[in-house]
Parts: sequence; C-alpha cells; structure tokens
Amino acid sequence: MNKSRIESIGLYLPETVVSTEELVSRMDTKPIFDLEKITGIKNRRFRSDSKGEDTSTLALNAARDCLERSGYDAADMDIIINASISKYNGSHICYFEPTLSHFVKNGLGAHNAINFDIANACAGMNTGAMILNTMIRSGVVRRGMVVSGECITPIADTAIQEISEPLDDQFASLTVGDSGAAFIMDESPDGKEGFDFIDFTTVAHYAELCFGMPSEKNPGIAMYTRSKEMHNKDLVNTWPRLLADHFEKKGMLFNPLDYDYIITHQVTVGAIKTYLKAGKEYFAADMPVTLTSVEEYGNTSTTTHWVVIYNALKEKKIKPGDRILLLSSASGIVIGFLSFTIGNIEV
Amino acid sequence: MGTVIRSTFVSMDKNIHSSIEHATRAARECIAGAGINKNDVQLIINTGVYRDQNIVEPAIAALIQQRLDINTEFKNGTKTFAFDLINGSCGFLNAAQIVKSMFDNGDIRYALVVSGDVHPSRQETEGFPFTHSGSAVLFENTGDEKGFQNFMFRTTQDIYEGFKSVVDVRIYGSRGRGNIAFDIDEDYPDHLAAFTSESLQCFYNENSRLREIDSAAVKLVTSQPVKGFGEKILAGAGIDSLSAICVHDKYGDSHSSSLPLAYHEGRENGFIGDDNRIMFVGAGAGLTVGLGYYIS
Repeated sequence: MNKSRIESIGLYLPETVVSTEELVSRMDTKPIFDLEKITGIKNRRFRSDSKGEDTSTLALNAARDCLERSGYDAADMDIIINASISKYNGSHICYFEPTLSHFVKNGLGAHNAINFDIANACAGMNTGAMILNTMIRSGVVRRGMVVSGECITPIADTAIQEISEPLDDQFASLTVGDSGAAFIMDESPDGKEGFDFIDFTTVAHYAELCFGMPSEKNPGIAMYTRSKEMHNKDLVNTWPRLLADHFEKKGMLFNPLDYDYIITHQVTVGAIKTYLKAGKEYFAADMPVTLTSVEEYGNTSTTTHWVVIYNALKEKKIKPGDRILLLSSASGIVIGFLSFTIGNIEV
Repeated sequence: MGTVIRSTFVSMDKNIHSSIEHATRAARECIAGAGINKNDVQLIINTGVYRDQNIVEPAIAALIQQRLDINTEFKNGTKTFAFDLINGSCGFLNAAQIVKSMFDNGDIRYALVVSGDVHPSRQETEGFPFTHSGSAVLFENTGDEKGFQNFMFRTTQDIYEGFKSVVDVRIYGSRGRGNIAFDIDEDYPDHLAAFTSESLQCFYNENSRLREIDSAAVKLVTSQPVKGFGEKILAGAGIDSLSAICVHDKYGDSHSSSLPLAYHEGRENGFIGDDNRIMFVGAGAGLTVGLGYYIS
C-alpha cells in the first residue's frame, strides 16, 4: 500500500497587521480583562477589501506559492480539496454553488483534478489531509492539493460591534486572523518520509459549543463560543485518551520521545499550554517540544498548523527527517492526530 | 473489497423544514433497516448544501451524529468521525469514492453518507429550487466484487455561472440567517444536459468493461434537475438503450439527496434488483458532473 507525504507547502498572509491593542480600541464595550495578556496574541492579519482579498484569492495565492516550490504543475493535480470555513468570493458575498474548489481549480488551471469543498470547522485542512492520505494509499489518486483561503476576521468585525457583556460568547472571535495555506501530498518516494497515521474522531456530545453563522443583529458572520464549557476538564482530557487508544489498538504505547515536535491548534497561548498539560499528566511524561504562531498571527482557524509548519521550516527549526505530531481540535468537537516524518521541503 | 449499499432511507415529509432533522430521520431508519449496531458506524459524511440558518460551523455532520447518539463521547473504545463534503448532487459520489478508498485500505467496515437541504429560513420559500428533503445511505465493506467499481468527475474549464447561489451578508443585514439568492439561467438545464451527455460518453469510452456489457442491462440513476433528465442525457450521448429512472414528477429536485432518493425509489418499485449494473450520474452547478459505476 502506498504511503503519502507532504511534497510542498504554500502560504499567503495578508499585509495588514492589526494589533490586539488596536482591535480593543475599536470596541465600545471593552473587555474587563487584558485581552493580549489572556490570549498571548499580539497581532493578526486582516484581509484587504480594497485589494479584493477574499476566500478564493487567499486560497489562490497560497496555492500558487505551493506550486512554485512543487515538482508538479497545476495540471498534474488529481484532486483539489477546498477546506475553508469562509466562502467569500467577492468582498461580502458567500458562495454556496458553484463550490469554492471549482473557482480555485479553474484559477490554477488544474483541469484534471477531482474537486469538492469540505467543511469541518478549524479541522478542515487536516480533514483534507486525512481524505488525501486515504485516497493516495488506495491508489485512486497519485497526488493532490488541500487548500484554504480563510477570511475569518469578519467574525472579529461582528464581535467588535456586538460585544456588550463582560463574558460575551463572541470574545473568542477577537482571536482570529486571516491567511491562506496550501499543501500538496503525493506518494512517499522512499517509504520513510510521510504519514504513519492520521486518526480523527468527532465527540459530538459537544457539537453545540461553538456555532458560526450570520449575525441576527448586524450584516456579517458571527461566531458564538461557549468558551468555559470548551475548556471543561473532561473535554480537554479526551485527546490523550484517544491518542493512547490509537496506539493500544496497534499493540503499542505512545512515546513522546518518538517525536521532535507536537503542534496543537493555535487558539490562545493559554489553551495550548492547557492541552499539553493534559497530555503530560495523562502520559506522565513531558510532551515533545511545541511550536506556535498564535502570538503573531492569532487563530487562523483551518490553516493554523500549516502556518506554524511553514514558518518553522523558514526559520530552519523544522529539519528534514523530523517527526511531527499534529493535534487537531475544532468545533464539533473534532479531535485528530496527524503523525508524519517531514522531508526536504523548501519554503 | 466491495463498497456496497447495505441500506437506504429518505425523508420527504413536507412538514419538516430542517436539513439536520431530515438527515437525522433518514439516517435513523437507514441504520434500523440495516439491523446493525449504530455505534459500529465509524464514519459519517454529510453532503447537504443548503443548511439551517446558513450555519458554517460546526460541520452539520457533527450535529447529525449528536442527534443520532452515535459514539458521542469516547467511552467504550468505539468512535466515529463526521464531516461535511459539499459538491451539489455529485457530493454523494465524492463521498462514495472516499468510502471506497477507506474500505479498500481496510480502514473501516461501515460508513454512513447523509444529506439534507432546506431553505436557510427553515420555511417553504418561493424561489428555492429544491424540495426540502434528506437521505441516508449505509455502506458496508463486504469483501466481494460488488458495489461501486469506479468513478469519474468532470467540470467545465470556464465556470458557468448560469446556476449560482449566494448569501450577500451586506444586502441581508441582520437577516443573513434566513436568506439565500439563486440566479438560474433559463438555458441552464440544456447546458447541463449537454455537458452531462458528453461526460457519460467519456466514461463509456474510458471503461472497456462497460462497453462489453449489453447497455440494455444498465440502469441509469441520475440527479433530477428537470423532468426526464435521464432520458435527455442518454439521447444526447447516443446510448438510449439504457433505462433511466425519473422521480422528478413525484418529488421534484431533492438536490444533494437526489441520487440516494432515485436509487431508493428504484429499489422500492423494482426498477433496480440484485445483480444489476447501475450508472449513477450527478450533475449540477459549475458545471459539474460525477459518474459512478455500481453493481448491485
């Protein structure tokens, strides 16, 4: 059976930097806490309306960046999966049909590709990796792209207008930032590089803790998060139990020393620490070294792990041969693990 | 490995106006019909497009899993993964292809593909072109040679915007949860039929196994954008010896549920039996066409 690997990665970050201080200054009802201190987020990027940046342009920019460093052309793609939560094609127009994947596919000239959109909240791109890994292993496709142009800051704009309570359920919306990310997966050339497993679970008991939908008060999309319940102990402790179960079913034990890095979903600095602490307590062992991007880019939703990896490759923190564990977590509640050895990827 | 449809069910109750409720009802009956333990369903893919209140997260699949009470918490070692896949009426075939890959890899034994479409206002609304409905298809990895064999997906190289659906959040103001706009050209069905006929010809040309079968023995199960769509694409492809099922008169266009609905109806009324050769053909916005060859 074929093993899949990450062949190339692309990233696009909009130029406009908005600091947490500036974001808070736009609010009529200011938080009673220090938002930067409590989230650890200093800055995030906002898309530029005047430049016409939307979901499809952020996706196309990231996809082109990815193709520039890939050994493949757009026409070589067997499949393109669009994984964004946002659907902006035009400044304020959300497309339902045709799919965003069709716009990206045609924009790239990837005319031989199967295309569809997936929606799985912040786990979208990693769910795309799971699908691609499945299809490359079975041999039905040889290579493909997962892409997400995530215009998520409209929920921050809505939150700025609407937050009126000290514990408002739109506070989490202030943590987000815009980005585009893409990666190409193909068959591992040597069987060493690539994914050794991807394993996802939806613990749907918690499906209603976070909703994204149009606001009922203003024009725009909003996100409503029951943050306190999101961080309840049972839920936070679910990931180590699921990871232990994955290894147990293979007759193995999870050993953090087998990994060079663990990368979690980038929510806030505090939330990342809480996830890792839960792992340390469950396995009674230190977790692998973690890498973050939340301080500078905020929560970029579907793209967070790939923003971290791209920047760590650029800074030469991640090196060829490093073994990485991605911990995906998202509204649903979705919990996923992606375990892989990275190859010689240029950024 | 066989990617076999073990059981199907549809939800066409005119009093239900929730995509989640339609999909959940269909799924409940579908699982009961299969006679399996619901917690053995390891994968749920929702292919619905038009959702209650234009919800963009979480995945509607997670909300359906929650209502079905399938492995909602990680307790006894069994678990389920759920996500949404969106590609109009072709989404069912994209999902079937992913399920087939998982079965071929030996990853799982059962997968549930559900769908539901309603106007976001959760009311019957003039101008909404689809029948409020839902469907569920339970796939089983049977280990034999039956079930889905192969697929093909095609899109036009220039995006045809003769069918488009958008939510313009500025125009709708505070009513974004209950609105969506459709822009459908008069000649959309003709363009769609022509591209679908061409795609069916391509599929036949690339599949020698199909050409060897007496085409009179092949049953055509299509999406139902207009009355007589199946016959129209067969005539266009010049292979009109196939027989096609039409449920448009009875149910209209149930969009992402249209392929499961036509298959379910065909099974119920005897159009499809055991050991039949079936061509699934989905067609919709983009233009987009999906084809899947299935042995029942």
